Amino acid sequence: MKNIFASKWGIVLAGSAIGIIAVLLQFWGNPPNMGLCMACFMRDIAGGLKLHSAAPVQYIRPEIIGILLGATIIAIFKGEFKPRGGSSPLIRLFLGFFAMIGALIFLGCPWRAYLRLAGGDFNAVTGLSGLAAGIYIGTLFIKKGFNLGRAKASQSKMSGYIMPTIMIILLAMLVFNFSKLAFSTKGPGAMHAPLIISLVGGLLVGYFAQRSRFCTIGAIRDIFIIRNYHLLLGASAFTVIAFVLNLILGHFNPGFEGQPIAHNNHLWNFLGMVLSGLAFVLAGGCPGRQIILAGEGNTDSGIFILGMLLGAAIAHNFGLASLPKGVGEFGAAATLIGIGYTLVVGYVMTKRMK
Amino acid sequence: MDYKTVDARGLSCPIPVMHVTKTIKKESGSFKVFIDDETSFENVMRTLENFNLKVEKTEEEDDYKIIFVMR
Repeated sequence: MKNIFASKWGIVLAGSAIGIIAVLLQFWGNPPNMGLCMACFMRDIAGGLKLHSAAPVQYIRPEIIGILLGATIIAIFKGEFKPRGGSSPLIRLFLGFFAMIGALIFLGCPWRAYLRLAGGDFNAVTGLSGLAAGIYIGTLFIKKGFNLGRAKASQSKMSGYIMPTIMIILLAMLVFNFSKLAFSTKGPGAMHAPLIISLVGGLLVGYFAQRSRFCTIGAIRDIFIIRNYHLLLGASAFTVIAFVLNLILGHFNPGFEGQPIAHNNHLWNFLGMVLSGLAFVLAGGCPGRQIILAGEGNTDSGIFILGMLLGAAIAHNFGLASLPKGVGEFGAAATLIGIGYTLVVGYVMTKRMK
Repeated sequence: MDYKTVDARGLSCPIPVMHVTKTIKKESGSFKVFIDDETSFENVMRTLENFNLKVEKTEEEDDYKIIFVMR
């Protein structure tokens, strides 16, 4: 049975679908230029679970739940659910941790960077330049033989079901309004589409992203490393469709200043995304891809996204995350530490494994 | 026929494609690729197509596939 989404037109279709869903989620209540943001939403989930206490960003985002479970469902159906892992998990945990730190400095993961661009936020150009620079540095390691080691089929299939089960539990807590959860009453955490729309949107994104292997990091990485534009087609379709829909809906506001949930500190927008680019490329994929892989039973990706959750909690507890008015108190230091970490990982894990 | 082996099992994206590309450029002769992930399989097939290489056959073992490339 051939995978229709593996073709050029397939990934264009998938990217377009994901772009449409993103803008519609914005239209139906998600924050501006944030229809889908893996980093922001994982951070909101951290808040909802009270792993941090930043009141404006606390909400268990059903999109993340839907994306992961959507991937699980279609992967099982297509025989691609394969519990596996064991490729330097602790290193990956902190790659996820620092990828999140970098994203919270810029105020967006790569998906949101493309959406911000599609919304006219020119700070996304700075961010995407930083992302490309970070990815480029990562590809230098990859070309020299960087490898985090082989993943193996899990000793028990059970480990592949852990992340999907956690998502189901989160969903149950949301649906039954579990009193211990935090729900923002103001700020981005209070801006969300109705639960069922977010969930269905997420499930659909999970389907399209899993089938097409959509990856916003691979889109840039593959240009540098193998001169291949397949994934870029998908990311471009995503961005272009979002741009067109934004125009139609009147959501396109070009400029650097006063952009929604954004700041224009060019240096740290750039460096934050250098960190994210480096971390994601060494881990093998963008946060959306990591969530999809976790849904497929990849426990290394599961650990990566738990690292992101941890990073979000620490970022808000220690004042590392940016605010619309600028970079957080210790954000700069954290970014530099993170870049140091990823460079060490890149250097040490090159030519170590065959 | 002597086939060089490229074992891409369990390797993160984009390493399987890197290994295959390296083998295509630096070695001559036929090779076979061991792949245990559907995404990597699709990527490697696409890479072979880009280099105009013909896949002789693919075999399926328990939990991995083997792509045979003759040249």
